[in-house]
Amino acid sequence: MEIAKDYLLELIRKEGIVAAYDPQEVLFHKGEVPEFLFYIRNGTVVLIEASDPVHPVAQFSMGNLIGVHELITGATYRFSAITEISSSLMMMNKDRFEDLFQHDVTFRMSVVKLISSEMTGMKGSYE
Amino acid sequence: MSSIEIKSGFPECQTCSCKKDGIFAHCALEELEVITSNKSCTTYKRGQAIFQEGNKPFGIFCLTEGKVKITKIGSEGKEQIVRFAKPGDTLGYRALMSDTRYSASAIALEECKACFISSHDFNELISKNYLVAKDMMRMLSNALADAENSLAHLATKPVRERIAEALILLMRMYGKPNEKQFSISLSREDLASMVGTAKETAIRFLSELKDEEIISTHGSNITILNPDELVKISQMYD
Repeated sequence: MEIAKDYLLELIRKEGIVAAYDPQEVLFHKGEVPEFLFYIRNGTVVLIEASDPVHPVAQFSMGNLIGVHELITGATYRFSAITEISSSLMMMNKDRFEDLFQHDVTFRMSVVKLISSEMTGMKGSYE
Repeated sequence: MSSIEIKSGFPECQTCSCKKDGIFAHCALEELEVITSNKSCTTYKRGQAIFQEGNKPFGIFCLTEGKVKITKIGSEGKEQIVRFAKPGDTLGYRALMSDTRYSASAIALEECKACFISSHDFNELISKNYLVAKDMMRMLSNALADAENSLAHLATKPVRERIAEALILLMRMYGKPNEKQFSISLSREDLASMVGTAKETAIRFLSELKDEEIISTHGSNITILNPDELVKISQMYD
């Protein structure tokens, strides 16, 4: 799995753009159409429900990817994402991600393996 | 002459329900022909495991007939039903693609038929056909979203309401469009496991529903007589 992630990250580092976020800055809101894949270089990002912003649904930190699912499935974001502390992220454009997913077999297999692995044990993804 | 070997009693992949809405929806004809000729097909008796929690996956399973329960062993060693599978569902792809062991078991609730597609063939398919990979990711995503409305949420409701909701869930999953009444053969242990209660409690509330003529029972068979009333009960505390 580390090999799959390494290949993904190498591509994201080559092709992504770096963005710096202040604490409590919003990456995206629930219901928005995804435009980027996010990779956390450092800092922390939490997913929250608007109705309960105090209790995050999930937390992501250095090395995590956010938004792969939504980019692949075309679904809108189920939660909002905000930075907890000052954070530096790399962002890969949706069109480039789709292009790589379609034409780069290694990239595609890496994404599939990584997402399958991250879902291990999550509710609804039992087998 | 076609080189495809027809597996007796099992559908060809080209016309199978697994193809219609699932992972294989965007497969080319030649790809389906390869899968059809290489797959193996098995009939499972009630109670038989299609795969076991903790075992290593060597391929994926496509359920063509029958009902399957997906179970996990809880911290106290008790089996808990986490979801059900129906004909057309593909099982085991997440564990295969993540190179992990099965985190749950798939057990036949009645006689089932499933086709097994090897890891090699499935990986070939995903690497050559990006739409299949997309469909797989979409299915994973839908499974996660569905889980929000799934059995796990029953835990917050009173038992009677949970039993009503569980029966409605089964009806929606396995009911056929033109059937007048929905029936399912389900042990009281399985029903209790679904809603997270003791078997005796499940039996007591089933008796109540039977007395109110909302359901009827015959052995392990449960028939829903009044689905509208069952829906009302399931939503009483919403």
